[in-house]
This record gives sequence, structure tokens and C-alpha cells, in this order.
Amino acid sequence: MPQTAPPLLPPSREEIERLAGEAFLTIPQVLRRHVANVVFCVEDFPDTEVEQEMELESPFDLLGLYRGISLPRRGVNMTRRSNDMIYLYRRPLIDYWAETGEPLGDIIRHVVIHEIGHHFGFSDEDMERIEGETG
Amino acid sequence: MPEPPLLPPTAAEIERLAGEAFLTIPQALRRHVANVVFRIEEFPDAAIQRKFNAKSPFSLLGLYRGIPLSRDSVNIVRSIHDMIFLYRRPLLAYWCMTGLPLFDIVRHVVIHEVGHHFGFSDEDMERIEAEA
Repeated sequence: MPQTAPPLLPPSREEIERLAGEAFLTIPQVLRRHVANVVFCVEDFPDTEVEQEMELESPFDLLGLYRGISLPRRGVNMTRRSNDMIYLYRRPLIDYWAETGEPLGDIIRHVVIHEIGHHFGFSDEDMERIEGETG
Repeated sequence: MPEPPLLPPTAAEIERLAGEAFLTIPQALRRHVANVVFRIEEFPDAAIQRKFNAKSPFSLLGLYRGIPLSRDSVNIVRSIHDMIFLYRRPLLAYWCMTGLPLFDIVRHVVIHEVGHHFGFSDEDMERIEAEA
């Protein structure tokens, strides 16, 4: 066959977790070591609480979410009982993939890096500005 | 060897699957569908969404547009082709929701829309599928 046929089965949560893991490893070690205790969690959609909190018009509007205490807001004596989490939402990611036609790995990498940006204390506006400057 | 990048099924790919699905229909039936044209669109348009009271643009996977054979008469000049619309984004969302192979989903929708061409209503087909 001259060309690989597109998959007949949809990308599973495991597949997205695998791509997120690969994307994570493309982040330079000097940054990555500050993210050691972040856990990835792949869900189909944001839950209704997140939908309300983020004022989503549709459950397809959010691709990922960082939940935790970002490094700049953290005190030295803060006991970290729970891991910081990066949520990735499979159904919105796949619809965005269908909409843009970009490779799924590239989309997931962009979202992973964006959420890790939140871990480092950058806001959405900060990151938009930085991306605008480099673009 | 690195894996190829994971790209989403395109409109052309869905058209190819629809063509393959169509060929699985027995010839005895298929010859009555000779002049039906498949058209792949991203979403149903706003007018169609309103007509079907669609709660979301993802609610409709396909649509038959034309004069069913049962309502056709010998003296109707069929100047335009009957059309079967397939909606890519809803199909892919359904694919993702169910985890079924995309071909199976496209085939089900194609056969359903061809059923409309033969004059079956949604209710007829629901009943038949439940009985089968």
C-alpha cells in the first residue's frame, strides 16, 4: 500500500495518554524536572463542574485543564498531599483534530505544553502573548 | 521506524468508505439506487438543523434528499440526482463515542439513507432493526 490508511478505530484514552507521555518527553529536562509530580488524566469530556467554572458554551470547548498549585504560588513549607493534575479531554481533542486536520500528536503536545505553562504560573493571556511574539 | 502521524479521516476517506459500504448492498437492490450521489459535508447546515430540531450540530449523521422510489412515478423527469449527505464531524464524534470501526458506522448510515430512497421512514427502519 502506498499510503497508510487512516485508523478505522478512534484514538482511545490510552492512545492519548501515550501521546501525552511522548509530548512530555520533548520538553527540555531543565524544565521537566520541575513537573515531576504532575499526573496526566485523560477523560472523555470536562465534567459539568468544570464546564460551569470555565463557562463553556459546549463540552467540546475545552481541550485540557491544569489543576493544582502553580510553582510561583507555592510556599516552601507547603506539604503537597495530592499531585497536580493535567486533564486531557478526549472527545474535544478528537473533534479539534477532525476540525483542523493536524496530526493528533502535535495537538496533544500543544495542549500539554500549555497546561505545563500553567504549572509554571503563566496565565492564558501570558501564553497568548508569548505565542503571538514568537509566531 | 517512526509511526506515521495520526491524521483524522478526511471527507475523501469517508467518501471512499461510503462507496465501499454501498457495494456491500446486494445488486438486486443497488441497481435501483444508480442515480444517487453521495456528498460529504462537515456539518448539517442551519436550515437542516432547524428542520430536524437538532439539539446540536452533532445530532445528525446523514440525510437523504430526493424523491423516494415509492413516491416516484414513471413520468417524473428526474433532472437532479437524489443525494445522500454524510456529515463528517458528527460521524467522527459518533465514532469516538462508540469506539466502533468507522466503516461500520458509515455503512449503517448509508444503508439507512438508502432505506429512505426505497421509501422507508425512520420509524419503519427502527421497527425492522428491532425485529431483526
